[in-house]
Amino acid sequence: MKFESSKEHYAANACVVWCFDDRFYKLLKAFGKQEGFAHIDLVKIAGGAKALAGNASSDRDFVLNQIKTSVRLHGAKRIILMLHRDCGAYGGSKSFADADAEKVELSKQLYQAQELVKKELADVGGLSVDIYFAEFDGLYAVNS
Amino acid sequence: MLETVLELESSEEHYTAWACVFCCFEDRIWKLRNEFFRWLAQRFGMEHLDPISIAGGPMALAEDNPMRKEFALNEIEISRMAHNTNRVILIFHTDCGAYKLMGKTFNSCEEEYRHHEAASLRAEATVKERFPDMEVERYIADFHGLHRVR
Repeated sequence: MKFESSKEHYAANACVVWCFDDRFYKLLKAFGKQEGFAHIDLVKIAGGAKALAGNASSDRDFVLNQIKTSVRLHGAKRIILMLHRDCGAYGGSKSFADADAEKVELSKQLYQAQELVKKELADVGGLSVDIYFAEFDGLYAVNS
Repeated sequence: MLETVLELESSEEHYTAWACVFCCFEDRIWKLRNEFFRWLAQRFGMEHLDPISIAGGPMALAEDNPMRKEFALNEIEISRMAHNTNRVILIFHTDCGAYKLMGKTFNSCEEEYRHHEAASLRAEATVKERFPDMEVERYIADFHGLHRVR
């Protein structure tokens, strides 16, 4: 397949950690458009920010390293962490007592992931870490 | 507290993924990747993919680093379990920043292509060792297109 791509290096508007679940692809696309992103480093992995919420593990280190790579290579100053409803990496919604319990638990995990990323990248000036919960009816910012 | 950022209805239907695709998170090859996905849809009727994007893409499957390799293999396992995936597509690309961060440089385009070709074979072997029934396709992306490695 022939296709011309730009060789120009870029600055990333954000490093986005998002789940590879195809059901939320359109939501990501709409979100990027709404935010006016020209370039992002999209770390698309099972569970999105899930690994960042757990205890120290090789998976957690791996995902942290992805974010650090984006910051080093493309100067990302905004980190976006996402978890979503009915995620296969958690065993789906059936792994939680009910819909509210799922939302509460995943919001808690997003806070943990946010704290970890802030701590690990404390030396990067002007960095913001935003956390989002994706539902089947839209995207929600998780605020304290 | 949750604050609405945008409203958009997404399908709750579970799907079967035509393939699990490893590609670098490098934004410069994103349009090419999307064009490839459109071609897959037109040519094969592909409806859903599980695109895994990490720095270096399938490089993690070709390295000797067990942590990175296991992470990538686990992505395939989740795709297989959640979306019945039976095909893995590996897309390496030229001028990859992840290689540069590792201190790996190439003296010529030919050397870089040979390196990615060999790495794609190692990555395929890694996938096949864990998932013997998984079909594997290997590609190299450059700034002029996408090339199947056979």
